[in-house]
Amino acid sequence: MKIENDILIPELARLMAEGKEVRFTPSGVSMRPFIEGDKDCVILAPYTDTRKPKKGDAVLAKIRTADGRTSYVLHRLIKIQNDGTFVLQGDGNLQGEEYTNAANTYGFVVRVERPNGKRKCLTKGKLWLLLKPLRKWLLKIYRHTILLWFYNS
Amino acid sequence: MHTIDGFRLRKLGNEYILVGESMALINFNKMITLNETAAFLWQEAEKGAFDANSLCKALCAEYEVSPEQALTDVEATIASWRKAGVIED
Repeated sequence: MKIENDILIPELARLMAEGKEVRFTPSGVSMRPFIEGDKDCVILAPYTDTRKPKKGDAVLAKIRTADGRTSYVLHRLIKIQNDGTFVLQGDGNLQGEEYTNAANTYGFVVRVERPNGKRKCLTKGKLWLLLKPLRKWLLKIYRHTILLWFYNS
Repeated sequence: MHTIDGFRLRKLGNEYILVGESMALINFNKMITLNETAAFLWQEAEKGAFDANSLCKALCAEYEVSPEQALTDVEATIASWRKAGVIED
């Protein structure tokens, strides 16, 4: 029942380009604590003329990895540089940034839901970004508390 | 029987999937994968009211398969659709 990201995400991008919203469950831990991979589901909306990418959006984008391969990520847009380059970083990553641009950014998260259907608070991640020096410990605390309490892992 | 409105067949790479769709939202969490035969049967089923026999006829017309095998396959496919909640009586 699982479709590879390489195939699924371009389809999501295509649908968003048609103006549709898409709902799916992303995988991975790179957006902890805001999105718990394989458990939470997200709704992504496309960017439009009236809603352009903004710092703090959790975006679905195509990036180029260090060894030149194409990959897709759902990460936080932490900075838009003067030349229009988007800098992305997963909330759950301690280091590592990805670079992309508006053309390769397909849409953004408008809703996050836990497995029980309850809505999670949407955030721009400003405080989380400020607390980056403490991220390692905050994530550790998260894994030993919230993750166990709410996700039965 | 007929297919439930709002489920659409899509081809992703080499796989076929059925995704729940409304006007504005495509729900990949409500998704089932289909093999080529099941995808063909869905396209037939979408045309209107169907039953195991009508799908069987269509399958035999398209593929080289014995009627008995076709019926077995069709019934299994219909059962999986019913379980997934994509068809109704």
